[in-house]
Amino acid sequence: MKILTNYFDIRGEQNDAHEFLTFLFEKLNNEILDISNTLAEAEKLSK
Amino acid sequence: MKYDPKTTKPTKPDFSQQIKDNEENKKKNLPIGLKCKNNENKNSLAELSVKNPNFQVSYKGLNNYGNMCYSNVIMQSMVSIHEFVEMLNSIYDKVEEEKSIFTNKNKENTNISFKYPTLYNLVNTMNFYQCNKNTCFFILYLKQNQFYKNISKKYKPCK
Repeated sequence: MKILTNYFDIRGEQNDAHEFLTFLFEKLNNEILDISNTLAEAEKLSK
Repeated sequence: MKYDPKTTKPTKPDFSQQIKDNEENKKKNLPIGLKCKNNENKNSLAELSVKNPNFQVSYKGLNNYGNMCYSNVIMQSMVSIHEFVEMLNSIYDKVEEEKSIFTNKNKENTNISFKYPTLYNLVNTMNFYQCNKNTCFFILYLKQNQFYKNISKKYKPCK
């Protein structure tokens, strides 16, 4: 992510790109966290 | 291959040939991907591709669906990171495999596209990327979000 935002710093379009990346990774992070929590819970229950 | 959301099925990007070519190029001291050595930097990508049939420039020439060039660049960069694509694919496959775990007690809509829209759209966009060279899948998803509405307000619509 840092590499990409640095790239846009050079390009001068950092605001939109940064907003886009923040939006994307925030959503993705939450979803992956939810998936890993669900899987961990299921593993606990199965033991 | 023309993209049709009704009939086109997602296919996973196959990097095996690219990895093989890169390994062979390494042995022969030929350019790997976009990395060029010494004097080869001066040549255009087209010249390089003629000189070396194994030279690959992947994922270029995306359509711009109205002020989304920055997102196209990001998508392009992300798809080029094999490990990232592989990681998202493996998470996606895990959710598909373990569907029963993700089934809600109240039996609400537990479809992956509904529960994890970002992952679903990102993986599908990346998988469609090779055949249709556009990110329309993802743009459709973005359009449902406030993010796109905020960005769109800043610009005049594209002709």
